[in-house]
Amino acid sequence: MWSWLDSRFLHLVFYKTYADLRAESERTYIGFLWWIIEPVIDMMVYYVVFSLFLQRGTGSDFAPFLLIGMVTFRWFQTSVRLGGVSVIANAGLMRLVYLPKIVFPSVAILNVTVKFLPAFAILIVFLLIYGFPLTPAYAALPVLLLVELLVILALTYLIAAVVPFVPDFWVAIDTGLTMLFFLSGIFFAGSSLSGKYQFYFYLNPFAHIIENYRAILMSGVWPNWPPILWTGAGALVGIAIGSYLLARFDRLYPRSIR
Amino acid sequence: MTDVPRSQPVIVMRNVGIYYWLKKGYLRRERFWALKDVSLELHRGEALGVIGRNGAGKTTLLQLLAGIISPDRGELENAGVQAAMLSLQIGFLDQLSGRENAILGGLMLGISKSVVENKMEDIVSFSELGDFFDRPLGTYSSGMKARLGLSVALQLDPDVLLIDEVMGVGDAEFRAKSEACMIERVKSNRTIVLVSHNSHTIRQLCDRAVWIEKGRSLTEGPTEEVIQAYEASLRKEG
Repeated sequence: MWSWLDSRFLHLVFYKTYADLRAESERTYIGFLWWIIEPVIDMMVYYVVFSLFLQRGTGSDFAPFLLIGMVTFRWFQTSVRLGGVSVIANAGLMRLVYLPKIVFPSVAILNVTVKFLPAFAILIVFLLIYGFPLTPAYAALPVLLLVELLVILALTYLIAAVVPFVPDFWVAIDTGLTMLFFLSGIFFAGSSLSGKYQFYFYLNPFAHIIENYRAILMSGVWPNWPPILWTGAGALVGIAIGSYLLARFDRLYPRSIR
Repeated sequence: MTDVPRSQPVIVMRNVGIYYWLKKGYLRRERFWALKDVSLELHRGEALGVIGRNGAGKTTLLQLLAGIISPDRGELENAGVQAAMLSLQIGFLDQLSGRENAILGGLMLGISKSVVENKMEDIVSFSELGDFFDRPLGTYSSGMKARLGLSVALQLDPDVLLIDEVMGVGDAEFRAKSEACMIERVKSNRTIVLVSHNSHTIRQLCDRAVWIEKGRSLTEGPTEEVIQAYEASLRKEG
């Protein structure tokens, strides 16, 4: 009755995301303005602390260096945190009505992405004001964003599909996200590591993603394509497996979650 | 309308069983068969009653019919009909208006937004919510929320409507109206399944009934016969 790329599926994902975002924004007085104000405050804090107070040794560009890593990594981290438990979180709903379970992580990712985009736009404005030039390399930005989105979809689908059966897994995922936060080069450059560690460091797709965001935004350099394209290809395989699992266990979830 | 052929089964269950895992101590779990052996036929245009005591597996049965879960043994055949549980609120959000919640509820039932919008006037008038329809759901009383939920489910008219127990929510007047609407559905050759432990509602609405006891279907047939057998067993046990 339902199929994956059914227009009803897309309508439901979009409308449910719209409804959730509306509901979220209605809970506060200024509502969606928070999606702009919060990242602005965030960036100001990092700027004041790292560029004015500390004047870190890596040069005075540590604040933009850090912010590019933080903002783009947080998109991924928040999506996985919200999307990974989305099937469990909707247990009550799925016992009332049949829904393709892939709807839940998709809504979570779209929700986080809608809030990420203004934060990312503010980051760009910050970088331009800070003094980095707008270069032709910016043309590669949509590709990099798309690859990151594919990685987000792949990991979130896979985690959302498995966690309802092995809730213990979630604890490991949460720890893994924290480890990834420290190991993806948000606070340091991969080039600052010694050779033998560099090999392991660059096995992490996020090390490449973040490094290439910086290449475009700070140095005006085109991305290092091979690792980015390999990451995108791997993510497509992950999306295929994740959505297959979600469809395979579609009617098992409502009775596996207590 | 009674001479319309009612021979086509839309959903057939043959010896259906389904289990849940129950936790039994550390890392140990055990199968619990919520339904062991249930057979029934649901025909187009009939009102089928499912009667049985609490814990007989009636809710699980409705979830199977709605396609929410699938059986572990036996066969369940659906001739391509959309069956939906009548619920008072399907993922409604307090911050959205009645209108937006109606669209959301419709999309969750697998009904496209344009169809819901076409039926919106019927939903508004059936719900009797008036101006409240465009106000946030959070401002509704619980009775009004129930009216919105029922109006959405009844007016969007799935092929098979699955109803769990008595709808003991909302005011008596609206309940009577919903019952009338269901009787109307039955008369106009729509299909419903009504599950209850109370024989009164089933007698009133259903032409045929199935008696479920401890996960097994015992009798299926004309309502009166099935209810008499059920009530006799209740009396025997005191």
